[in-house]
Amino acid sequence: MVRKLLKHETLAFGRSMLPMWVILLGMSVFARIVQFFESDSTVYDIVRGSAFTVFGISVAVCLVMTVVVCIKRFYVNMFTGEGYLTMTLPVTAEQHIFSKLLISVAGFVASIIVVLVALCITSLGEVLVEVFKAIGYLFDKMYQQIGFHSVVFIIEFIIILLVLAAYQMLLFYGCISVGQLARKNRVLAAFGAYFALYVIEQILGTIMVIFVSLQMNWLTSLFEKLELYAIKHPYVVAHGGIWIGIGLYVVIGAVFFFVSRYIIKNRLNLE
Amino acid sequence: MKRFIKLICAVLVVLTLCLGLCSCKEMDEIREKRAEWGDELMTVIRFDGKEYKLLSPCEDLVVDLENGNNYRYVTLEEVPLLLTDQFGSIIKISSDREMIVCGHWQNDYECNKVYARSDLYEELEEAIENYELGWLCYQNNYYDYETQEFVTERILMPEALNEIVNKASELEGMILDEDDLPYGSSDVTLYFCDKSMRFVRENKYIRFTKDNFGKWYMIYRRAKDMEWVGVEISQEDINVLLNAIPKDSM
Repeated sequence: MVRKLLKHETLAFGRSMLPMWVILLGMSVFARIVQFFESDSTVYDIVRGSAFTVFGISVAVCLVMTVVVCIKRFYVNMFTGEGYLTMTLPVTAEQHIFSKLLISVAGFVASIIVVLVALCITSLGEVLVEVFKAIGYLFDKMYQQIGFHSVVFIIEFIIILLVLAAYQMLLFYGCISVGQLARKNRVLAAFGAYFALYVIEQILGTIMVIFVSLQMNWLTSLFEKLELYAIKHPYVVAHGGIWIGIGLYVVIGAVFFFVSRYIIKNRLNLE
Repeated sequence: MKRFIKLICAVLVVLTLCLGLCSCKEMDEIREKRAEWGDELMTVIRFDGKEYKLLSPCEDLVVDLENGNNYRYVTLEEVPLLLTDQFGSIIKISSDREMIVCGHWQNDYECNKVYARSDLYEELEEAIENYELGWLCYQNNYYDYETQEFVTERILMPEALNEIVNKASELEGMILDEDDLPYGSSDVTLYFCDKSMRFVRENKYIRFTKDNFGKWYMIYRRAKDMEWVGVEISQEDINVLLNAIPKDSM
């Protein structure tokens, strides 16, 4: 059943995003064709500048639309009239949230890939070859400097991106779910929940800073030890820091996941 | 209709792929500005189809360079085009394209390595060893609106001015604080050079400044690590200088 759920989620996401991707690729082809007429004239500069501006806007719109479509899919499918149908399916709340989350993250990755393909089309030819040469050279230099850690850093970077994408989606799901607890203006309540979360985050951050500054003496010796350890084992500290960050986002994302699950399972009140 | 759309898409794809074979103006510009090291010891530079060999080690010497902001970069051959300015060293070409100057840091001073074109190597080696910086030149920097580039015009000062400077250097003068050198309502800076102005010493210069009471002073330093000295110059002597430089350049 979950496989069918994923299949239909993918089709729904594709129906919304495919036209956007086609437009983006079309803009990239147009920008590339414009460059064929390159000359020193002002007219060419204006046309080229306009083509690239339109392309840049298309990229931004594509990425924003991806996020909007993902959020809208969750909201419409779970909390509007469609929700009546959705809740009749033999699928648990966790499976619903998980399938939407998976498709959202996959959709975001797909949009990034389309944007990269569009950039490649725009710079097709000598520029693209030089870009790949430059990337290869930089990676080679990095590998010469730090060895195998360069590969590990790249893998960790990809993992961070995926975790952050998932965290962001879960944050939105959590805020939408909390907004459903209101009797009226639920969308507005969702915005309010997002804003309240942001304020709480800032307050907690400030409290942390105050706590750290008050505990300076105790922490100074800890930081000195950490600094000495970092000098001796820089990569351990770097990788450790990255994984602590990933772990933190996973934990907070899990909190939002369980909040959404609880509200969908126990407090759902469709209009 | 579907066939028509498919045909249009196919044409666009083919066109885009064909365009990939065209060159790019920006790449051509980077290629034009790029020189390459001829060897690992960085004693040879290859630029514009010619070879330039290292002529002298560190000197605080500047050759008469091309006008405009014509920076170029020299890199190893393996460095990709797009990373030329990241992994390359800045070089400048002399106005007659006979020499290349590559700046580098040594003992906290920026020094120049001078590379001579291989066919003129011996001639320039002899010129560098035998030049005499006994003349003064004025550098008139201005923006040429026609060519849209910054131009440096060098004007050789008359021999009479050399004698005035030599005479003034022998006077007692006031010792000045290097961090608080006076700047007046008018300032003229002169550099030591050889008679052909092929070589100019930009780290050793003389400045003439006019104070608010109309008196002119010559400010100079006898040697690299010595103090700055200010000596009053008479109006008659200053007229020799003012007649030699363009009126609107001060």
